[in-house]
Amino acid sequence: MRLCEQIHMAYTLDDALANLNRYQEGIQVLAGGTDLLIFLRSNGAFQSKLLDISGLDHLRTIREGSSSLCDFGGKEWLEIGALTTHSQITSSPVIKEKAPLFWQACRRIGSVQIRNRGTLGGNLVTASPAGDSIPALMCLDAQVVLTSSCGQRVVPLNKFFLGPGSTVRLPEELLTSVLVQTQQPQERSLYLKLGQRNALSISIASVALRLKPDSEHSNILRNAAVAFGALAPTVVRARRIEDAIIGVPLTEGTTEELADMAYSEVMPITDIRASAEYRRAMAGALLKKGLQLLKVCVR
Amino acid sequence: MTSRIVGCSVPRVDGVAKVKGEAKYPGDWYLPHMLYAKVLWSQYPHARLVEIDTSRAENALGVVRVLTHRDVPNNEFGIAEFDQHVLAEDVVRWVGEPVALVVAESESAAQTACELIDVLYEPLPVIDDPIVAMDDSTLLIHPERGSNTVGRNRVERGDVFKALRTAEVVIEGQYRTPHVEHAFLQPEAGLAYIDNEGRVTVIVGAQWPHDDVRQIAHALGLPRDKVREIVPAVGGAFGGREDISLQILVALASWKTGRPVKLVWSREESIRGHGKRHPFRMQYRWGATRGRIVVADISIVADAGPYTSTTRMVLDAATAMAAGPYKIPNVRIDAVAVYTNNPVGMAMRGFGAPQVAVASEQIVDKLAIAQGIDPVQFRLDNLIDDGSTLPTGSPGPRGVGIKEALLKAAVAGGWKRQGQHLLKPARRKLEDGRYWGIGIACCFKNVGYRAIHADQSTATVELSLDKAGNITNVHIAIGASEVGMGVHTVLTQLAAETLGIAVSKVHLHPIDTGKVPDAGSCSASRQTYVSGNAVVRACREALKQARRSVSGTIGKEREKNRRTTKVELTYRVDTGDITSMSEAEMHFAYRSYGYCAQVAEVAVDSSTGQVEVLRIVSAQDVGRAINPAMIEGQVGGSVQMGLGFALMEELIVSQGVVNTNNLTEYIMPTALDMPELTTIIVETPDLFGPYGAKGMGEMPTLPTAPAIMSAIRDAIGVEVYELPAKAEYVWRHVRRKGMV
Repeated sequence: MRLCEQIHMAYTLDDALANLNRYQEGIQVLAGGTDLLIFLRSNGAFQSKLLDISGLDHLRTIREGSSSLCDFGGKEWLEIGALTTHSQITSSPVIKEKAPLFWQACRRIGSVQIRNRGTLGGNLVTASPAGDSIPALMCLDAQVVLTSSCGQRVVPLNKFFLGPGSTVRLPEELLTSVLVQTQQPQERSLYLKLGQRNALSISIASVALRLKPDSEHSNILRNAAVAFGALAPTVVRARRIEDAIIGVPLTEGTTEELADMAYSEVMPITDIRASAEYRRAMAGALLKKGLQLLKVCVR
Repeated sequence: MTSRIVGCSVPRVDGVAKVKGEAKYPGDWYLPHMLYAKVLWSQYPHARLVEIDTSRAENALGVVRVLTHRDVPNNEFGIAEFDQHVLAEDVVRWVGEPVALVVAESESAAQTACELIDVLYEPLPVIDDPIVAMDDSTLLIHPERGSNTVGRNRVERGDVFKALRTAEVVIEGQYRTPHVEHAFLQPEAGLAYIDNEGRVTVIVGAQWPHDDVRQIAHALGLPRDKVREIVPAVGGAFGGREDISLQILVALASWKTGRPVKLVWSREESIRGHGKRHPFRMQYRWGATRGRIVVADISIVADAGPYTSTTRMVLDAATAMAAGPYKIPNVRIDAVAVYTNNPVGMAMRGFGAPQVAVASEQIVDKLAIAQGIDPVQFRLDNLIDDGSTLPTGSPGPRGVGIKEALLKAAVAGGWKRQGQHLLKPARRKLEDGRYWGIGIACCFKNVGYRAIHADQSTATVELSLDKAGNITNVHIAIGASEVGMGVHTVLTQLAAETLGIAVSKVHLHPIDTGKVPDAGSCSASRQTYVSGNAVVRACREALKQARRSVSGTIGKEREKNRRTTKVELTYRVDTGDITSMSEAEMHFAYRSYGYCAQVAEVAVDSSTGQVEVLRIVSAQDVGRAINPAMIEGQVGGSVQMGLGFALMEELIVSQGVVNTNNLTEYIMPTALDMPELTTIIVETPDLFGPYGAKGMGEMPTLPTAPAIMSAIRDAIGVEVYELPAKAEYVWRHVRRKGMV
């Protein structure tokens, strides 16, 4: 079956950007293809043009260090190229050590085959509210680098998504890398995913937690980031919960209150995988379970 | 008897080629000047077909022919009766009905042209509820039949009314099972061409190639010897290739164009185009007194979809197995199958038995609890023995190993003996906060067809001998398709064992109806039993004749330099003494059965409703294990299917339209969802099976779901009445009980 009219293989970033600039919405970027090919196959988009960027190997790198691109307030960060596959991420000792939350989330994506093909940039640009890398990245205050022929801009991930399948990326822009804050050793983090099975599973609901307990009292948090996946039109940071969770001793009672708060923090839909009612309840259930598993509340 | 080959896990005869990727599946075949076909599917689940205009499609680039019902000589087919159209005519009754077939120089040209066919439909009301369909005032899906009822079975034994009134405990429940998809690895694919003898030849995956030939020949208006079917390597079947799928379509296209034609269905088309496991609604009411089941009152409604297929036989099997393998004196069964506009109900591993096992084993469990008896002990006290009358009144089989299977499963699953009693492991709360529970179920399933239905298989065995009379090679021709279950390895082992030669000297002829005799369908766990017997007996007969001719004592057989002996033999299943049975007893009698018991351990998360199956212990009476490794493989596949049935698999159909038409949305268990599996083989020989073997491919799929359901109840007190028990379903019931 023919899936498209024309594929343009980009050999340099400039070439890729020039094509994006020229065709704008008339060309679609092909990276790993794990979403795009399914879309083309089911929509019979014969007239489409594809820009294959899979040859741009320098977008497949993981770097530590500082950059002039953005300011993380003096904290350490990682720059991960947009073409880095999920398998590369999950087999990277650097990511496992410096961003374990992100590492753990990537392990829950699709299957081995999908992780071998699928790229980080693709997972973000596809903009699924159920995208498994996104809640973790949100908690790591990730920023995306958008590059066009005219230059670069850096957008915080929590300002990147507009809705399901929709982002602030302009047609002439290419997502080239993602910047993430590294985690501190004293932080505790967890990605919990509720799916219909243990692999090849689209999340029904998910939560990413990045918590920094007090050095003396592990049930008092000095910092907290909480993000929910598949529970709203985009992945969301739960700011109200974060505010409520910091500085108060966490007990079974307070986690119960937080779970109730989660119920009203999310805006899920009903689809063939689950009802909105169940998803809403799962926001709280996963949050509670996460706090228990991270051992930040006293019984 | 000691044997050298039967009982050994010899490697599969088709294994190396499959592992190396050399085996050719139906979609792997190409011929010069080949054309491609594409199906235009019915747009509606129920509509009058007013007009089909193919002119735009015919003029499209690369299109060779556009076929509609007008091009089919006898536009009808069907495995049990000819009630389906090859290409839709007058009325479409489900979304899996082909309306037109485009034949073109390329697949994309055929696909593009499909969209240029103008079909005018007049939509009719969609009947998607079998209960509504039964109502007299409902529109008839086949007006000429005068009713939407496909078939109805009634069993009435003893005094059910009185027994229900006087029983110490009565348990009832309404259970529902969904449409289930076969989801074999290889979607339907076929290549048809005219061979050098002028025969229409179809290369396709099929469970019963000789019956396909009968149906293709009828539809094309050809004598049967003008049609030939070749079955190469096949990627699974599970009942889903028993009916015709695209065989007649490719045959017709090749016959009309004179060129080879290839047709491959996508996964979406596969899910759309073949039938499903029948959804059942079951009302069960059983009673027990002093530890004995005294009465079973059962009503079943099966959704047959719009065409007959094998529904009546499925209903027979469901009726025969409805009350389980128990001794019950008072039984009433009312089982109905009805036409709807949902997907066609067809054969699928277990053939009506997995659905009824869900209800019967739950009720048995609850009766045991109500009587304060351990569920294993309660079953042991009620299970059939050799020769016990079955619940339908049919004579019971001999060689019943179900009690041994149940006990072995229970002990391996953790049951302890305490004096006279068996003690179930206690439910508990795990460290991670989840609830642990355990459940058990045991089931039986017929092997082969009903006793009144002639069940037979024909094998041709040709021995090659050297001058000293030693067998150098054996060639066997038998039409038993290898659809993945291992029949070719089993038949090879049986021949080698019988002839006393090495497995490597046995050669099975590829499945080609032009060359191999009819072995019947690869269904009802029957090929080891029926074709196995045909091969064993043909081998024995050939050996006898070869010895006679070598010794030279019998002149009739003697020929100078004779090197081969050929025997064709048809094995007919001994139907037993059916003349002494009443019509009712005879109706649900089978000649052989297989037995399986399983224990399931689960962990249930009360906050999300998620159920994790931690372990399954499966103990099965296979009569005689011909190839233990292949049996373990069958058990693993069965458990995977049973686990999917219990927790995930559901074809979501709304108003006749399938919403889960791909494997992203139709959720099946992956390797990561599989529990630890312990397989125990029990060998209680069958009186008639080859070397005592019983059929075994379907049975381990039956107890998995009820055992998981019992384990969920044990863990968290939730009664599951509808499958699949998805996390949300369990969560709702947990919440209703106030546990969250």
